Amino acid sequence: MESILFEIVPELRLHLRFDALGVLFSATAGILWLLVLPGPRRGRRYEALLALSFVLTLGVGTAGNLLTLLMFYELLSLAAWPLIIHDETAEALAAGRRYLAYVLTGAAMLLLGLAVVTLAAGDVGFGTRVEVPALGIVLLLAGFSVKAALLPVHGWVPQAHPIAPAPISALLSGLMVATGSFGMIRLIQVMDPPPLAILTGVSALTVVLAGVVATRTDHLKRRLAWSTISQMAYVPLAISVLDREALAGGIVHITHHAFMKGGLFLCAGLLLHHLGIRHVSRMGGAARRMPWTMGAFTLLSLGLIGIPPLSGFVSKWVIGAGMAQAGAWIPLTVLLTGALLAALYLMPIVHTAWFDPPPSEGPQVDPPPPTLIPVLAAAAITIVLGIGAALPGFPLALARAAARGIGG
Amino acid sequence: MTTHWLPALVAIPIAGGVLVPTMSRRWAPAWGFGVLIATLGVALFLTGLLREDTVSYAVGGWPPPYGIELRFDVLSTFAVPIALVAALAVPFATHSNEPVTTPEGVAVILVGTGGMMGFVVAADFFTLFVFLEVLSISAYGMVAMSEERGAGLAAFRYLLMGTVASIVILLSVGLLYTLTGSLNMADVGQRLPDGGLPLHLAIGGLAAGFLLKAAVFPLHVWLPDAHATAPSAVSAILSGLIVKMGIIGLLRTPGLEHLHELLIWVGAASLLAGALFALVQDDLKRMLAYSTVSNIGLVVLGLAVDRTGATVHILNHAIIKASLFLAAGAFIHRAGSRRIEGTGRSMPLTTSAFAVGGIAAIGIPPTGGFTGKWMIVLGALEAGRWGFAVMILLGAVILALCYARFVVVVAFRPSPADREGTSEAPLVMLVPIFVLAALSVGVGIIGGPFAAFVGK
Amino acid sequence: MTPLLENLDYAATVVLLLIGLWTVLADSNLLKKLMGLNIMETAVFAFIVTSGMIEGGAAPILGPDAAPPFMAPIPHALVLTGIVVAVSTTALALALLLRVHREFGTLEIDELRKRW
Repeated sequence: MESILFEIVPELRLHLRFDALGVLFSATAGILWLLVLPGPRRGRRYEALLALSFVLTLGVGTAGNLLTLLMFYELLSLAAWPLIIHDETAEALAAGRRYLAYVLTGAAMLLLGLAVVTLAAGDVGFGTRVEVPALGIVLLLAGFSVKAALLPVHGWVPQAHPIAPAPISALLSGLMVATGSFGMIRLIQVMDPPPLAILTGVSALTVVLAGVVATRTDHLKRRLAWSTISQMAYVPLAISVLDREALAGGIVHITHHAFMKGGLFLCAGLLLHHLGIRHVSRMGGAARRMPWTMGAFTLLSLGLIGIPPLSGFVSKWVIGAGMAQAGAWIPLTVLLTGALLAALYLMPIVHTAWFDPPPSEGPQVDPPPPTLIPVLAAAAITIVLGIGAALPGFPLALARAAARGIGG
Repeated sequence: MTTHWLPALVAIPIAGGVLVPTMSRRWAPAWGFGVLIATLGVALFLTGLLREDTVSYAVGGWPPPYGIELRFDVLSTFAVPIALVAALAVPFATHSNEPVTTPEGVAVILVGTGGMMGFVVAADFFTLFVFLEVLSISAYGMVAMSEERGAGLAAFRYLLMGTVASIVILLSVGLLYTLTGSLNMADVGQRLPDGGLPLHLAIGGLAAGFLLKAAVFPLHVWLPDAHATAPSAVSAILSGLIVKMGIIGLLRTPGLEHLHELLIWVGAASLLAGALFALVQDDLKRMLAYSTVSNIGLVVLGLAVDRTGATVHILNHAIIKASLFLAAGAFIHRAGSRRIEGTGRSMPLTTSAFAVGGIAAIGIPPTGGFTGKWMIVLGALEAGRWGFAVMILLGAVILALCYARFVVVVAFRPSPADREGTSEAPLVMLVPIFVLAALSVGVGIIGGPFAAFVGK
Repeated sequence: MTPLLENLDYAATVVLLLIGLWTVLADSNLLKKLMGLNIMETAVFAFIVTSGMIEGGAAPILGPDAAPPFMAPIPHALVLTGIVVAVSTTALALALLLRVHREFGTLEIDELRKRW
């Protein structure tokens, strides 16, 4: 389904398109937004911008040409900024400035890339393939990699994620970073990429280095943020292999990761809210105080590491199988290293929470149902998407359909 | 095509302005608003006619190139934002304490509007000069309306620079006349010699004068004081409309292609310098003033690479910058002083409009700020001037940080304890702000057809 | 040397213009700056009037005795309007200077900077 609307600048139109890739992304956004809605009310500004960013995310998902994609993408970057600095602390404001500097520089590169592409090929809709100068593609890829948090332009993630309110961290990690990867997938849908050795190298480096940093970070939300950088680099890694199955794995990984990481950030928010815990080293006995929350946390961690039959396993398996098929052994090694690193930075948290003695005893303080349910739902989704992965209409089927549409 | 509505476009506001001082204080703003709305109607009507043909009018029946000719062409469509912004500024100002809506104040605004109308429809350089002076003298008067300490000085410095510019322009017009024996623009353009020192002096002089009027870096020094001390409603007129007259003057200058290399560098310098100066301002209105310097730089650069893009951008920027200055005025009005920290907390509507204006000023699609900027970037790339395309985008990033900074000041900083219980801006302020903010997005959504109309 | 002598009137206006510009830029008294502005204006008027001048030309007025060559009429019209504009600018400038003097008690730039 397509609909071509206004001509925003000469020859470029506002163009909406609904295809498998867009449907999957929009549906993921819809469900994740539902999960972050409950919880304490935070005022008009917050609610309004949360709704606005949802609409803009849908816009990213349904954009039908490059201009429309960039338009929603940049508006989303700006709409998310007041949410990140919602707490109004000096720290938050500093993180917000850094976030803006990063995403706006990325946006400038994207616009320049779009200008180069437009000069060469006119209006680039996602239904066609075009020949464009390599410079345009490189600029666009570089622009998207800021949001996708690839090294060395990842700097905003470990600052912005920990400082934002928990639901916003969940959205940032689950979807904001994913918009960058989504943009990259859209790119290779329309243009033949230049040799992708650099993308492979950069994303492999990102997976490993960010994973290593995560194991050495004590601040819980910051550790999760580094984990996001590492885990989301799987998508560009999968793209760079240029194999249809690996690409399908990358696409479905966006969805699976969104729920797992979103759930983990919500858990971190509950821990902070009810127990005042910010650091991993302070988490001793947390599971005894909040068994349901930490139960969900454990399950989501296992999913993220890639234990069958959870959803994280499915996406990694599909990516890995694609890589093996294409004979891309180095990316495959990186993929497995990433999983190992995930175990190294997540399992200690789980271990501390369940088995270490608490600093002080206290009553059970699991949150009331309205805030607990989203966390449990995220865990349930992780199980269902893992077990039911092969069912028609589930993300994997959609991702495969999307990858078929892209070729590769 | 000819119609008497064309001279009416100039005559209505000027006649209206001359009559105001006879009125009571109470009726002056209403009269001013009515006259400006009527002018807006005429401007829209003439723009409608333009779809078929350019409208020309020979004053006193003397045919051009001998007599005075008025001509409504694509550039003259600037009459629409002129009438609109001026019309909205009048009700906006009724609520502030500044003496803008006294009979004298309204008179100055009306005459200034008439001057601008005459300037955009003038088809010979002599008429152009006369109306340039009418609008400039009104502008000096508008700055002096502010009761703030130092406003008189700011107005005087503005007058000094503006008059030097006018003198250089008059001198160049005289030179052009001795070179071509004509003052009619179309005529002068045809009779222009191919080169030589006098030609370069004449064109260079015109360009220098108009660049000074447009406040291009490093000739911008008069602008921040004048625009920041003026009452906010007036700042909207000054920053949105009056500096653009310099650009329209440049667009009317014949043989401008001799100066492209100069314009592109001056424009780029102004673009970056304006943005960097804006970054270090602590006062919202001064930041907006420097942002205007930056945007004027973009337009001057655009004159050399894509004239249509530059024209589109002055039209859109007029509306965007006016909405921003009006929003700033609303914050200052509610805060009671220039210290506006946290005022936005109790003014969500004004803050939203300010944010929309900021997004448009940065040039994010689909707002009006994007269309022209995009066309100029494309033009720069097409001309192989890579570095300039990069500079334009860099300037946009810096400006974005400036606007973000003031969104934080207004909406994320705590308001001082003595200012609890402020409320949303009154309706006469909100409506003008929202009309302009909505338009600054609206013209962007239809940017394609709009640019096609302007480029015709 | 000859071209300069032939164009002595133009050279004089240029010198006058530069004197005016120098006063506007360099003098520290606002009133003197305004005078510099007036000198510049006069220079330009002189330049334009001279450009329309023809040796032995008559005033361009049609009548029974009118006989070419005429002097160019348009420069005169230009200058006449220019003078009107200059007078109104000067009047406004003087009014502004009165206000500045009332607010700050001085018209010297250095003093004003201190009392801003």
